[in-house]
Amino acid sequence: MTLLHEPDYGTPAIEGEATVHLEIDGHAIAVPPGTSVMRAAAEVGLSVPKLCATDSLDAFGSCRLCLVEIDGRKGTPASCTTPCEPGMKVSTQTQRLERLRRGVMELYISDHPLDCLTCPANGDCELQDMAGVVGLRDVRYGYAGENHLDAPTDSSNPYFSFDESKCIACSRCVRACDEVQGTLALTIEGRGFGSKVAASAGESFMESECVSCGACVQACPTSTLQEKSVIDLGMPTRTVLTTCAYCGVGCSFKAELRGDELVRMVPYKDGGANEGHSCVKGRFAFGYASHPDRVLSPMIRESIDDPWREVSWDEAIDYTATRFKQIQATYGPQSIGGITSSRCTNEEVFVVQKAVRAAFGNNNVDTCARVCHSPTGYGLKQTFGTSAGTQDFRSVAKADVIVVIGANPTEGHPVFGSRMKRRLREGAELIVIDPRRIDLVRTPHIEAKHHLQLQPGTNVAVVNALAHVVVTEGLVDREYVAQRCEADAFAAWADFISLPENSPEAVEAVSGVPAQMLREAGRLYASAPNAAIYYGLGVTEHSQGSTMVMGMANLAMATGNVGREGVGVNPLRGQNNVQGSCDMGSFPHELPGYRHVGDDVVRAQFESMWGTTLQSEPGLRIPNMFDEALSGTFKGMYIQGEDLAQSDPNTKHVKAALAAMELVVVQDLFLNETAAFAHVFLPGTSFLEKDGTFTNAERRINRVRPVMPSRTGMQEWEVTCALATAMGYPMHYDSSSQIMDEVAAVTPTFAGVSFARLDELGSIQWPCNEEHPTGTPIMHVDHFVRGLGHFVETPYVPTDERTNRRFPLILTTGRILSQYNVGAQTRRTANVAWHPEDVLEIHSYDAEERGVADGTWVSIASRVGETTLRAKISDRVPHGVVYTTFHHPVSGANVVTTEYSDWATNCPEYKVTAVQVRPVTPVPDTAEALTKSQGRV
Amino acid sequence: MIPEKLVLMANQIAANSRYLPTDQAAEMVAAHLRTFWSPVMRDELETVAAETEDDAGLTDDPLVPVVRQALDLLRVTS
Repeated sequence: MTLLHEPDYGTPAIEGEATVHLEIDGHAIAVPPGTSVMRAAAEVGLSVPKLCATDSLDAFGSCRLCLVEIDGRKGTPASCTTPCEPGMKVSTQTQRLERLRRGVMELYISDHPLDCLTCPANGDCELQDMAGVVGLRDVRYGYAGENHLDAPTDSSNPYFSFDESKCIACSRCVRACDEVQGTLALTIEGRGFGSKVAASAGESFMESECVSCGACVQACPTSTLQEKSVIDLGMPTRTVLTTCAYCGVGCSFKAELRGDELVRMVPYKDGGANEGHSCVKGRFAFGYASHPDRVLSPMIRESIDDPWREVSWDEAIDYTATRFKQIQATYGPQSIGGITSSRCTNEEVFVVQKAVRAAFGNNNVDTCARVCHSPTGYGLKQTFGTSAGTQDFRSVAKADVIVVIGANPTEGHPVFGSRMKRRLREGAELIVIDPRRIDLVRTPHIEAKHHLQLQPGTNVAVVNALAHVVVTEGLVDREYVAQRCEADAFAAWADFISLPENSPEAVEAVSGVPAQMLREAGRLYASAPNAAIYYGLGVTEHSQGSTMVMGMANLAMATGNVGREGVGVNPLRGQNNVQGSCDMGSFPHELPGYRHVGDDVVRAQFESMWGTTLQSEPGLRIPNMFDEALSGTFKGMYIQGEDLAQSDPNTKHVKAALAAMELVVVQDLFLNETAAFAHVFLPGTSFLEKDGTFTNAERRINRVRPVMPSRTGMQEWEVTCALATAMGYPMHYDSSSQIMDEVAAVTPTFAGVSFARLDELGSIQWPCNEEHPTGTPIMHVDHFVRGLGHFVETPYVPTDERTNRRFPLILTTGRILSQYNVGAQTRRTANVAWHPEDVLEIHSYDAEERGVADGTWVSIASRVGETTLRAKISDRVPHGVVYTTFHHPVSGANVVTTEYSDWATNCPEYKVTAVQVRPVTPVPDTAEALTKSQGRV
Repeated sequence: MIPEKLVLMANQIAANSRYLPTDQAAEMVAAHLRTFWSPVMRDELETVAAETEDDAGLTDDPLVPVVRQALDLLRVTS
């Protein structure tokens, strides 16, 4: 598949009916009102020369190359800024236009290096192309005049360079940063001939506000902004279309190769999730796949104190199967289990849960979604009937009020964050509910109407207060509720939510949010034509995570904000395949498609398909497995792509549990923290080697195509199948496509999904079945999946994790843009340039009270552990709250987090830990370790 | 399992059903334990309940009454 040169229509598509009829170079065409002449021409296959225009950006009209003639009009207007009108007759190719265009090109080329043959963009340069198109043969002005040819090159960014001498000042980079990314880090500095692109206030790209999303590089028509990998390796020659393996946005990328070497990742314009945009991780941070730390051969050892021994795949599989069988023979069938990974494909996850249920013979399978979005699954299933978000990402463009709760889209889900910012710049109102002042609260051209800076742990009280305002002030959408929801449940909920304990005045006392602000926010949400909720782990990772999800669903149903564009309740999933790993039956109580293991009819279907008997009782969840391990009854664990020893709470407890097991099998790219406790290491494949599908946060199933052969010689699903077979349950597939066919056969929401169909449609949002053959962008349109929407009463129950005199501060955790989760991938890329270490944000009052200075080392201690971080004094966090990220193992944020968890799902309460902070001197061992870890790039 | 943790988890489920009348709350807790807890965890909670039966209803009882009622319901239906 070669997609190197996608069509560029010059200006964005306009939605609407094609009612404007016109003629261009004798071709009749009809377009929606507002469509540019340039775009209309491109749609009939006519190419108007252009430099400053590209269809990801609004028309600018600066290069004067796209001039056209229009019958009955004077002059030669720019086709990019001229809208089509009924009856227009346009000429794009005349002698007059050719003369004018050549003149324009002469001016450009008179101030451009003539080094095409040695330029990195040779063959992929729009300036070079246009010189050819207009028939440029000479430059009358010569090259000796004043010019920019000696302008410096800024190479400060690790991934791209800015060669100012090649800049034609078309402003595409500036506009891309404004319109696509929304960071507004670039500008045109100076006037006239002195005009030049500048980052922030004339700083280097690295020092500026640039977030390295790559939109400017993508937009640049010359080699001014160029990937360093292209400069080093040369222009790619072929493309494989695939899907990013970082966050839950699931961006589509063209992996561009030169021979077998991956040169760059370019965001795909037709990617449903990202529509041509990217972030610093997906665009640039793929180098970990070829990092020397990759382990490519299987390894085993008798004891975790022994050195690793490289073995063949056969020996590794035989050893693992034999040991698992011995453990089950000694301790019983329930003594082993497996964990699936949200970084793996649907197909890889499906076979692991199948292996556990069919080969291990129990339901002890869980997934890393346990520690992030399991409350989403519970809460949305109870209220709406299915465990998934309601909208596609595109829907945010129709929202009038956007509520962001416990999420930080510009850091955690940056490509969606850019979409959201675009809508906010257009005028949508924003409510942020977060203890910390995230960037969205106030950023260029955006300011939240309300920032509800609540005390960590009081989400449910706050959402109840908002709903209280809706119900007691007569803001319920009565017609919607009457038609779409259960009447009795609504009545009971309305009585409950109207209680004085849920009033803003009562909630102010526990949450710290002023009652008046709660009332105004509730009114704003309820009175908007379209109001949408977006939320993240700041909702789910609490002792009442599931309650909060139901609270948000209640609020959305009561105001009629579910079932159309611009509304909904939308989880922003952490990892690329959280949704998919849950869909594939990774939870111990559910078979694929969220159907309970106790359902005899469903189980019989799987038993028939798989030719074995399945257990009808739920298995153990991850934290339950750890507890059983410490009790001596759980002895073996197969861990697919998860670093439990770093990512799960109270790492001391986790490590003790892992150490208590007789067989820990880790399948991963690197010897991670968990591998220190493993007896078998099965090397995994990076996303560049996988063949399968990911399902993103909007239920979009995207193909993951192999860019290169597996470096381990095996696909991960083949390894799992071999293990199951060695344990006595034959499992074989010819291809990953065959696995998806089995998923479709046993999962009603995937009934219409196949690799062939995905290749045909590009991507599919489930449910995809006879009723919805091309998928379902928006759910619950005419009715909820469960029929009528179900209101659930959501009493606020304070967490058991309390502050006291010993632990007077609340620690909450989050992410940063450049790093991803536990950092196993991004720490092995140049992204460490932006975030070499985790730091502790602390309010100046709390810092001063403890004698903590900015940049100094502090100890942070909770009831379960203690670690050391560098302090950063910040007014983003309120007095009494401290904040850190968890991207570096050496700083060990999860050493201090506790095992308190969501009441319904056991999702850990990462977001609330009572701690004390004190300065430490001299610089602790952590500093040394940190310095060493920085050298691992 | 660690008994204290099972007790904490069960009491937490009960606390989140406190909006319901006691009988319904017990049914809700029982349904939750049946749907989401593995049999080994339910059995171990039963063991805790049996070992602390003398404290039932007293201030020293580690289990809240609704959890004990839910366990009664589970025994009836199993």
